Amino acid sequence: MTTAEHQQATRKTIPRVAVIGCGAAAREFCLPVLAKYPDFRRFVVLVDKSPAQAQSVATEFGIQNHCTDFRCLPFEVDAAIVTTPHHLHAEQSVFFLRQGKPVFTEKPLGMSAGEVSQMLTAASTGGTTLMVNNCRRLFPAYRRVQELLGSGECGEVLNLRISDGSPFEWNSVSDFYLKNPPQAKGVFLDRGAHTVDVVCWWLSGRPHVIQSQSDSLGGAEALLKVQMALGQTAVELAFSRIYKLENCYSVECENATITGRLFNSTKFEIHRPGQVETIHAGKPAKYHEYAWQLLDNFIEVVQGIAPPLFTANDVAASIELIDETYQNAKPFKMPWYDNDPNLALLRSSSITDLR
Amino acid sequence: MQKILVTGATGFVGAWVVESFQLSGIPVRAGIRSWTSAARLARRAVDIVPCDVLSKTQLRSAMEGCDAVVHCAVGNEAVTVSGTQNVLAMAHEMGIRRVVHLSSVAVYGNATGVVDENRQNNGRGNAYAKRKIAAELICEKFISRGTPIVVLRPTIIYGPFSYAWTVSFANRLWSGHWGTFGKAGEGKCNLVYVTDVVQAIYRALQPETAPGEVFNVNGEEIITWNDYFVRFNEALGRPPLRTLNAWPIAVKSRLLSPVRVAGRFALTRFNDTLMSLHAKSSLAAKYMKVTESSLKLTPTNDQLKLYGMDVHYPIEKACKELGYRPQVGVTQGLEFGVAWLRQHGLLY
Repeated sequence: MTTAEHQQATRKTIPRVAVIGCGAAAREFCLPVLAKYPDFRRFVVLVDKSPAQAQSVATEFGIQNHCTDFRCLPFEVDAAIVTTPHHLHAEQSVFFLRQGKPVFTEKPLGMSAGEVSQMLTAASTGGTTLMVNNCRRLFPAYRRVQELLGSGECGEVLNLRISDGSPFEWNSVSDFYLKNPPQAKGVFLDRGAHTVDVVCWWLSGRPHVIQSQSDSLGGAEALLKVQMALGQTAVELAFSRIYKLENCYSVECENATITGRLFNSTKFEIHRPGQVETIHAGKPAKYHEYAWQLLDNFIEVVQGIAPPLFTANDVAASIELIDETYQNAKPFKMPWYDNDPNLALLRSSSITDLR
Repeated sequence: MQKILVTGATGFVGAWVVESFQLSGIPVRAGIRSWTSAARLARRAVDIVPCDVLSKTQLRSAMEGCDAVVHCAVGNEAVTVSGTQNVLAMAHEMGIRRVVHLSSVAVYGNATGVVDENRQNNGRGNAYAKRKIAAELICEKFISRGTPIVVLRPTIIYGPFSYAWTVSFANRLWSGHWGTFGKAGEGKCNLVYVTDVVQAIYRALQPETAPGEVFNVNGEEIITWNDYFVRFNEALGRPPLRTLNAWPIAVKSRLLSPVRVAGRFALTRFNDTLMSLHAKSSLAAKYMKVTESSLKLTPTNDQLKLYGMDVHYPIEKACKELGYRPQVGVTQGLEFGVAWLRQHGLLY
């Protein structure tokens, strides 16, 4: 299909889309893509439990329709895009999938393997497509690494290490990212939804957890480290949302080691005995442009003019692995709390009690 | 006893106050300006409320059900000065039993020698010091109106989660490009471990502590900056430090000063463009990395002056009137810091 034919097809079949959730993800990732389509102002309906939030975003983008309940839309839609807090993805996606409507959901796909299973069943029952915004799969460098590993050119993978951490600065409208007990899943569900998916994708399989440790003290963890294995491959991952980590990946194989910066979407290095080859896998783009690319693909899927680049089925294993990690996570030893004499003093009755 | 509201609860000291109180069963509420910096606090099932000190509505709501306030919020002129005015005005209006205002020894400016609480500030500090002085003047105004405020002036607060005095020095030492500074590093390093400050805050909250008083809060050991670098380096298990010649570093620091200012300006205004350039050009990325590294590994002029300052802030008054006794010595404080750095993977 030529570009002109593609544009014509796009113009002919404008999907009616419900955007569920009017927070930062809708404003930054979703609506800029939909705004490229003619008449999107009439064919998009915004849904948010806060009427003021829905109204505010509707005004910002000039969208005519908005409401507060995804079950009671002002008109029948062709598809839904779910950008609500994590714990709402499953319920809202299932509602549309059962009606045969394609759904694109923000990552993580769901809170647990159980939720994801329900979502996949609903998509299958409804005979429709469920996609998820695991947009790092579109990084040209990541795709090339996956091809290299899949081809066996570098030999068996012996060791895969990734560190993924930076201060949490997502401009979330609500407090759900951090104030979410009793589920209390923190950085690993949030950032891990990308990284663990990349691990499963690169290794073409789901590792099992050897051990994991987190700094959760009854709330959402900010630091988590996990060791996994798949056959003879050892996997070590570290996540933080308090401080910047090294943010690198290293894939040690029998014949070569692949290294790269986690957020460099196009460049990586292959280290072979006596030589280092720098690979430029494509044209650099901003992070959100990959999310836009994926959402463009979803709209084309809804229009019936392209297959999905990947679906929720491809990502499901990573949520199972995240689940398993949480189930096995033990608390870190934190001597700066446990052995601090001042904390012992405060706990004791040797100074006047303010309790 | 009702609850203690901590303003600026996502900051280094504020978060330590909340965590320490919660761990000790002391009712506490964390007042935060933004969720984006609350990842550390969210690890605990703690009472967190919106509390932008520039919003009187949020302050009123945050103080409801509290009988004491620990005011740790700090920032630009508006936050530090107007924010303090708002916090104290609301505390006064709501009849809060006790406010502990976290000030700093920065209010003494560049005073040297033994500097106790009676030393008048000479108004010659940096912008941070001037804001802290302005905030203390507001405290004085409210104290004269009868608001029960205790002012604490901590020294160099270090420990886990401290970027300024733990993470940044660890990075410098880990790089292998840091050292001692000879005579220029023989100034006194007035270190106080963060939970010692929490202890002082807790004692200042006690009803029997007389309001309207000001206290220095320092550690017990008097060591030099060179000692700090050597002991921190040993705790990290790094090879012994070299003695650096201070004057070429001072020259480099002066030369880098405009680069530092320009870099800060560029990062604030043109962050997206810089990141895009970083991704597209390996030469630009390399230049940025070298510049960043050079800036991080070169002390600023103010820091160099600090390393040579012969100043000590005694704590006799706090010991006598608050019952304050520092519990964590430098060796243990550094051990805690290094254990935390290792766990967080911050040594690379």
